[in-house]
Amino acid sequence: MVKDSCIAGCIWLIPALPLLGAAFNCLLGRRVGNLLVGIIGCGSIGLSAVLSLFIFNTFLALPVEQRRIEVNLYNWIPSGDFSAPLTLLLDPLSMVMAAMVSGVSFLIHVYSTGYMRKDESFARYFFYLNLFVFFMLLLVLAGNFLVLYIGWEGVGLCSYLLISFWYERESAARAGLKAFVVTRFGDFFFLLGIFLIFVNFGTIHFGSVFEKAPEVLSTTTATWIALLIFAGAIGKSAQVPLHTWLPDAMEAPTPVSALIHAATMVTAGVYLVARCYTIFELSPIATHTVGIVGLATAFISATVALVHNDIKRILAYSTVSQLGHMFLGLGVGAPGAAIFHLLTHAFAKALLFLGAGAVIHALHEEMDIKRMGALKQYIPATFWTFTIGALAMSGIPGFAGFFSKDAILHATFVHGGVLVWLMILLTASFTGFYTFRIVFLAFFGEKRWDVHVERPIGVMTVPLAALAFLAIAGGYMGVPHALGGMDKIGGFLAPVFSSHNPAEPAEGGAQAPEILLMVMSAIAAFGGIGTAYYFYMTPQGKEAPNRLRQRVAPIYELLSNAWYFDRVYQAVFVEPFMKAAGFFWEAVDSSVIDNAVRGVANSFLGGGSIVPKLQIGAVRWYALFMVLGITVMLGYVFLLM
Amino acid sequence: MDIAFPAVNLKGVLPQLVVTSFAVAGLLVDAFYRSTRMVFAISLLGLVLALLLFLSNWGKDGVYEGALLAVDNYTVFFNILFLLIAVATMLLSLHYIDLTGVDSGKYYPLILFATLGMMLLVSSMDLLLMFLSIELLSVSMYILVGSQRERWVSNEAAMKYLLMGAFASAFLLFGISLVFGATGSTSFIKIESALGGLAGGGPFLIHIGIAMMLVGLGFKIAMVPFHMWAPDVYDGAPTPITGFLSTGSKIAVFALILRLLMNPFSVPYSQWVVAFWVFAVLSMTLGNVAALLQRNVKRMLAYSSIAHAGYILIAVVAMDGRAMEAALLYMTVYAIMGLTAFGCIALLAKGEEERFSIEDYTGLAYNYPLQAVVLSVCLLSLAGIPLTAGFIGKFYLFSAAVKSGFIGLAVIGVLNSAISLYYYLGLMLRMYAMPTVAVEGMGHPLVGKLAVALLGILILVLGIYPSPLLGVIKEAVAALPAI
Repeated sequence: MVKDSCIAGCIWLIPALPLLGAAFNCLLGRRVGNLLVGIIGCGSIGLSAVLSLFIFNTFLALPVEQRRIEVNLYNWIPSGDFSAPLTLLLDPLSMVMAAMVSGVSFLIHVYSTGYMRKDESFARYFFYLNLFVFFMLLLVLAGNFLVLYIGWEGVGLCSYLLISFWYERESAARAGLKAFVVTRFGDFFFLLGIFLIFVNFGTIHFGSVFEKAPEVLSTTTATWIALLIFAGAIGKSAQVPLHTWLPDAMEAPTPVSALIHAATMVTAGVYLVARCYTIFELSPIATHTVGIVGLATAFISATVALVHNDIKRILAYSTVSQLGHMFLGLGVGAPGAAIFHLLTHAFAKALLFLGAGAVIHALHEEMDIKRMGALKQYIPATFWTFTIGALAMSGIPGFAGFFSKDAILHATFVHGGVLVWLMILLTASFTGFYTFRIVFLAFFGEKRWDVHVERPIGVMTVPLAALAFLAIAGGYMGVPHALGGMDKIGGFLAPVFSSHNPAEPAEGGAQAPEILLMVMSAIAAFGGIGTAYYFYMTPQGKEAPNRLRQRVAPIYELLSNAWYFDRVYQAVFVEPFMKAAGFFWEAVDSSVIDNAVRGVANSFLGGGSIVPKLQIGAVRWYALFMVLGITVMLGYVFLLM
Repeated sequence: MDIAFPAVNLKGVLPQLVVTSFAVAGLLVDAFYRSTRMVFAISLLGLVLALLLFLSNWGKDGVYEGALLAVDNYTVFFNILFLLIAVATMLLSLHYIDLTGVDSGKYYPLILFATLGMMLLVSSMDLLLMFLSIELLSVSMYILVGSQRERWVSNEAAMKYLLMGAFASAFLLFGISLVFGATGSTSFIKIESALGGLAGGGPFLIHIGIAMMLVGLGFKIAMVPFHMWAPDVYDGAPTPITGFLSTGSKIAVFALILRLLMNPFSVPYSQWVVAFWVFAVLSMTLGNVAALLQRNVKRMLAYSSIAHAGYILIAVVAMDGRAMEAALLYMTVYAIMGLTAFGCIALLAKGEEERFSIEDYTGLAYNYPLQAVVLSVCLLSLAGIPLTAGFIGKFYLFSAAVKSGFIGLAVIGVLNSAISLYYYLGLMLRMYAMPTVAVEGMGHPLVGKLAVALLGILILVLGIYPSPLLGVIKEAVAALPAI
């Protein structure tokens, strides 16, 4: 009980500290110098991270049934039966998310002090970044949909601000706008979903909604709510068909890509679906949709990543693909596995992005892997850590990604069928191929560049090392039962997802196929890596990529154009929309609406010009008005009687 | 003949006595020592002492039966508010009166006397005390408005205010005598019991009396059509006094109106709802529409202040527990906003001439970032944008109106807020536009800057975390008789 209240008393500090940092950097950042900005920026997040780890530790000591702590910070506008309380909720799900977000954010903040040290808008950068962490922590710690939505929109805003951080560049400004508009499109449906929840339950409090969901909701209503919420998740987590903003978002500074567009914000959609899992369970249609969208995204983006040459875009498509894996996990009834994958992916992908950042930094903003090569000798620390990230990403046994991917693959095999499983297996080999394509092309082979290498400074390599450690060790919190492990993370999260945990293997006999599945997935990953090795490392394979490209030219075209999504959208939505907008602007807005509005406005302004004319400054005139007033009032009294 | 001296409960009126004696002490010090700083210190000390005494009175309810004064949470709440307003006015004046040639010796004691008038007004339980308090308040204000003796606009404003005020007081006094004639008493409690048994909203005479009193009181809150003096007086008065006048004086009279309608006139009030509806709509609309084209910032805010009186009148129309809470909340919020707005303008004063023209504000943010930020927050709040105190205030007002069934009134209120955005945001945009002319320096009045910064922060804090204030207001309203 003592621990309980101790935790409850300091949860609010986890998001509040980054907010304080943001406020400081916003108000004073430009005056105090970069050093203090960096210290405050990292320090506030660092404290928040230490605090959440400390709370995590205390939290683990609590008995399972007490692991749900709710804090009502205050009621914003209590008014009769309507109220908007600011509630925070700490349960196993939000606990792991908060710990991951604050921890990874801290590392990336530290890295940023090195990466951005020459930028003149250093203080603005840390203001946005701190603000982002605040909103992200608010999002994962929310205890009702209102708070969650505040965080949800807040991270969207910060994402926009940071993508367009170098706003002098037109492409950056455009990418920011695209990200904002596309995700807002999803948010709109999410908001409708929240309205629908309020209409059905009369509350937006998580506890009451999820508890009463099975009784209150019919299957149809549950389907509607779940699909609307999922639409929000699709936008935020860049799933097909709203995934097109994420590759463009790579215009942001690389640490931002690591933090927002790989480790944290884009996973908010996964978190949201996991949080609302009780509602999704009520609707088979919704769960199937989640699974199908996840599968399609995982496969499509992995194929696109095969042929790109921009290091950040490859990683971006890889992120989209891995998010697809997580949604697939949610779709096949393994939310625990999805969250597990979310965590390991966050470590590995943050590591890969930061490593890519170090490479880009070293070669002075070079992003094309065709113009890299032989970097192993020049930046060895980056090479080793990047390779660890790549191994974890590909799902090589022993590294974090292997365990979490295996958990999803296993659930897919059991609940999704063999065909789906085979597709994911194929995707796994693609993953191995494209990640190691980067490794081989960037770090090995001949030197295809000609600049002075800028070595990463200490504050950049230390976070890389820390993340590399996490990319290995992170997997051991979820060693499956089949390998004699405890699946700690699955067990820890299980109470959140009610009784539902089908990924749990039956005791005894079921272990043999699971091990077989693991072997298969490892083979697939090694197959992908082997192909990449053959293509890019051996002399005889050198011509193979070109030959392959010619042989399957149409497919290559399809992939290098990212399945034509952007072009189709341009033709189907953007251009007609712009045309329609042009029409409405010229024909409807400027002639009809503007004139109507101007008419109304002018009538008020006309009134505005008359009233002061009454104000001529003569006292007798004012007195006359008072007399008029009293005359009318007396008339009123006489009428009344 | 026996003259029965009324039993005086000194503890109940101790804060008022403190304010009085410190005001007198201030005048004496000024007469013998001519030290403005000392007068300032003495006056401030008096206000703070009274504030502390009131804080200790919180929660100790009790109408002083048969006495002239009520001491309950409602009056204590307003008394504290007035004292805070007075303190803020003093802090904002400190720099201003050095610059603009105000006759400073009597300035601070007069603020105390005006505050005393407000304090007594809100505690009045008798029509005569009410009238005396209003006169105390008004006379102090007449002098304060004219305290810039070198500037003819200040003199003109004082003269106009005095003439019109005297005219309005005559109506008020006539109304009081009619009410006395109809009920045979000036005590609120006796008036109420005299009217309590009557059906049909009471006798004819009482309604004529109420109409007359409404002219006098409506004048003080600048309710349309008794508002005509306000733009001229607000414009001519020294800027901190404009803030004081538009917040303290107005709120005191509003607090009194609410008590009158709640207590002695609750029976005849039912006939007056329509009239208040019309006054509310007229004040809101005329205030906002007239503000649209003002080129003088002080006049613009004067009209805006008329519009805000209209918003508060919405609560007078709705008139139930919820509406009372909304009214108190809005008055508190409005006091902060009014002081902030006029405070910022006062801080921009430069020598004898002040910056009133809207053109003077172009590009202000580049030279005076703090004033610009605070004024922007304040303007957003006046317009009722979320996360500011103004939004919370309007939210409660309009929802109270809707819950009492006055949906049309709420809609008109919302539309008016939309109109007001035009001029509030217009000023804000100007401050952040590129400067056309270099804005001349005016020193760095530390105390004043600190005061407006605090007020600005308060606007934001109340917008994000209003619940403590709401709790206090609930207790204050609970002190009134059940509705």
